[in-house]
Amino acid sequence: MDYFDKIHILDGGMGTELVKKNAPMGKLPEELNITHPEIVKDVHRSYIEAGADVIYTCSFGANPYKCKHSDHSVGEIVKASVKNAKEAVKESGKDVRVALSMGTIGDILEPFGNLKFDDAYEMYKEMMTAGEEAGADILVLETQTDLLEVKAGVLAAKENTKLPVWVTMTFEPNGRTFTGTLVESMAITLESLGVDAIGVNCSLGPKELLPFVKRMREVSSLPLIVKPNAGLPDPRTGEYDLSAEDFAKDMKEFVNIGVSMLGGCCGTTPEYIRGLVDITKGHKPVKLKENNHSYLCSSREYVDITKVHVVGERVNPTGKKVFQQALINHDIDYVKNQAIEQVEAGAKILDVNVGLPKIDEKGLMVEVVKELQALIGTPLQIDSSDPKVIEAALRVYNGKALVNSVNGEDKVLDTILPIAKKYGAAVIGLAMNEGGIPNEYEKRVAIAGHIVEKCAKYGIGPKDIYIDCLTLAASVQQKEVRDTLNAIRLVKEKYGVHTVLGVSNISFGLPKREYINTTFLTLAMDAGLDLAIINPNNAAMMGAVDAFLVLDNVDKGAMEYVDKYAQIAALEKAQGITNKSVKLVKPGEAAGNDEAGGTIFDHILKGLKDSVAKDAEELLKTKAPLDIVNDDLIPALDRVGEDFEKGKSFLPQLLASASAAEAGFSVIKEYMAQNKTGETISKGEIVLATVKGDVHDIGKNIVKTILENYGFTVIDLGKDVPPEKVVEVTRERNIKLVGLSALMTTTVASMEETIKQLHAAGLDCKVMVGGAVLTEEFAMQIGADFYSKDAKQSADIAKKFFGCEGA
Amino acid sequence: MDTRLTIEDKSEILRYLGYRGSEITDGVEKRIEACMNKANEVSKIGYSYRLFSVSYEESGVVVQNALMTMPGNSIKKHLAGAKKVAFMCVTLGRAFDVEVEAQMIKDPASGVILNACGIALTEKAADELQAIIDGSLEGSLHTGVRFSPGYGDLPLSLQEDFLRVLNAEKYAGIRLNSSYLCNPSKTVTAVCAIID
Repeated sequence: MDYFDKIHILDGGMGTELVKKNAPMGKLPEELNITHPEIVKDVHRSYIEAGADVIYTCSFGANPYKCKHSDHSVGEIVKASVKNAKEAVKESGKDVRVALSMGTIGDILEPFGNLKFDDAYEMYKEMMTAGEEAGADILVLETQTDLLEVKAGVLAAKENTKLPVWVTMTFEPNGRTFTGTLVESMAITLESLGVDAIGVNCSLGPKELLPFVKRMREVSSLPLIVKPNAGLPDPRTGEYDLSAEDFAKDMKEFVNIGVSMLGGCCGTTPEYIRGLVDITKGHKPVKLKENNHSYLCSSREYVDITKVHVVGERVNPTGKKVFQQALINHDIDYVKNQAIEQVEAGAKILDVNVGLPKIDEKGLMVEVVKELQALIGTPLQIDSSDPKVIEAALRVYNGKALVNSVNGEDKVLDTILPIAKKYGAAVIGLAMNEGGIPNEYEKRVAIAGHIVEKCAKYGIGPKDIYIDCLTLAASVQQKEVRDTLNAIRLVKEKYGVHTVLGVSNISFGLPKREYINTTFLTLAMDAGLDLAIINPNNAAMMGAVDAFLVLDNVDKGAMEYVDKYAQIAALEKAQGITNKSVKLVKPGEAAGNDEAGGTIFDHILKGLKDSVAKDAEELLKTKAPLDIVNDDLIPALDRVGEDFEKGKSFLPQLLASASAAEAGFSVIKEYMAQNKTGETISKGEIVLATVKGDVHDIGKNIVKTILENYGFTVIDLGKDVPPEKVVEVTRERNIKLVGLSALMTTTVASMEETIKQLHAAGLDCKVMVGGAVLTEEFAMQIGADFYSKDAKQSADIAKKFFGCEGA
Repeated sequence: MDTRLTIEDKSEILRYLGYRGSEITDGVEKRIEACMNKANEVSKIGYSYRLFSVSYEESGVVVQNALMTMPGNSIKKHLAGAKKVAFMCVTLGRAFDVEVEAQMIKDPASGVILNACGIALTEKAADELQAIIDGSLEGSLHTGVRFSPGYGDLPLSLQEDFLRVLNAEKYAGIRLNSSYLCNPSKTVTAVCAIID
């Protein structure tokens, strides 16, 4: 189908037409395809007569999730829907295409709900293969709200059928879907995934949707589909407010901006479609040239690489003991915290690397990607040397990612580039090959040339290539520093690609590394660096980037610079800090600020994070780490717990004190890791999980915070955890105490099942349980060993259990 | 609808936090204020409502033209013979859940406070939605007290029918998980009698 030879007319609303024809509307209207095929065909006929070039099948909700109560299988309903549409087309004798309509599955994808990405994929696959078999011409995912669910559908279509795929999503007045998907992110992601046409349907009328369609056109050259409602509905009656005539008038704007396909959604009828035929007569869609901007995006944010941006490098265990331990303990919250910190410090892209020996890198990478993309909007850079890990991560990535990395070796290029292309990712190419890193810049440029050539072969254009000209330590290869800078300049000039650089290696082996790092970064930016991989928590490095943008006349009027640094300067002045930058403090965070005077005990009681961290640093000069834990931190926490029990404080205060104590623990842990004291603060390992079916994990997280601050190591399995997983981890790590949480009566059953399985596995462990609906009696009934009414009590139980009472 | 938390809602938020009249530290005071602002900033309220006639049968309360019966005695007692009812749902949206999670990681004290703010804000939005429904009713007709699946012997699984008749996914982006919990989590679904 040529999307640009004419404006194709699509059909209008299905539901209202069925009601009008007196169809008996059950819970699953799609069953009408089987029970009342004539009525469905009648609706199709009316749209064909009105002039539709493409009709949508009556199969919107015919997916395995929504059909679970139906007497008919998904295959039966889908095939019947295609058959009805095709028969109506055949009778008409017209050249009309049949598009298999697929709405949202209706279940919620992880981590917000329980639906797994792979299961969503399978559900769409089931519909799509049945649809293709029955003779559908097009697959259309419509009224979609979650870009990740759409991606599952697109992959299902591409991997299992030969049909073209269209996607239309449903946007709210703020330009986002209910799940937060941004107009631009949708367009960028789907174009890079190779979808055939994109657009909008439902939710709003033509006028309200127009700005969104214009925005899609700004970032994408794909053919566009517009299928609005007949205006806005009256909430009482469900009636829409635009007449067919007004609808046509408003739709004319889309003809003017050159969209390819026009139709209607809720509230539109054949009359509305006839109106579209009239307004499109004599008009053609406008084909845009391929957009050569370089985009990266998540579902919620996109970055157009037109100036230098910071890539946060901190989600990476290399050389970081605490991070490594967090990965081993499956402490995903630690990783999330690292991500949040970097985003707040100004990173626009986050590198994600979870590679450690003896760790399931693929499983962990997929989990971390899923969790991070649910939490933050910053696009991710997938960093691994294992193509399988890269592919698994790109598959579930909700947006357009950057792959770190390929190099000039053909073996690497031929493995990774097809993966990047398939999932629409951009790639980082290291200017090195089998022979290592050439010293001379000319040779690095030549390798970059080879990478660009190979990319072209796999269909990846320069706009999606980021060459890393590689930083060598100035202490060892001083002469070659200039080679890196020359290479940056040259690869950009010669190949029209972007450049990326890990900066801080430059100062390896030198004192006062920051001086070297900031200066090198500045030189690199001047040479044309686009993405600087740095630690965004380093104020001097961020300052260099911000200052460069002013001096390079990019930050016009130094607006952004002044906005950021005027506040910081004022704060520094107020706090009498002259030689070192402070972080910008946001409202509410002031709560954790410094207080002069007082002991670490007082500061924990008051919940003063920064003070406690400083106190701990101070104490470490004179006191053994474990003595600080036992003499200072734990007694303070005990007092906090006591106050809480007596009603002298309440939950937020308990947690504020716990966080303050945690700041002290972190300082001590870091010290012990660096000084290899061989000691450990851990008073015992505890597995925590919110049981299967339950996605409320605030209670469990509170318990975790408290337990950790009493010095226990918590293996947090997260929420909605299957019993098998609890058994597996408990066995593998020889855990003696397991904590289970459930919020709902409905999920206490899976708590019982988890306890049963732990017992059945013959594991020598005790189980403590907690949750809103539990009582001591109930807890004993389901086989728990301990009942914990709140977080404080869970710490008491753990202390008693591990024999550290009074410690 | 743009429901917002104001200073009058603070006591309600403290109640959700299990506050029993102790002294509130400066740090927690500041967090409460910041979280109330945050709640107003990140919530994106979505809602839907519909009116139905009902009849009272042996099996429960039958909702006309909705393919739905509300079983049990609790709902019968609650509706007390009203002939018409209003179904409603209101949610703060997914971004609110994401923000609570982020706060729980950054600063658990703020996390639980923001969560409590969310509960208070959802209830307040539900009150405002009832006022909207009342405004659309004739004369002195108005909605009674809200009743939700999971209350008394009204099964939680009825959420499925509630969301279906409200077209809640389309109008408010609300979906159910396999344990019949609403997503976004800060969501209220309810039925009210329409009374004079």
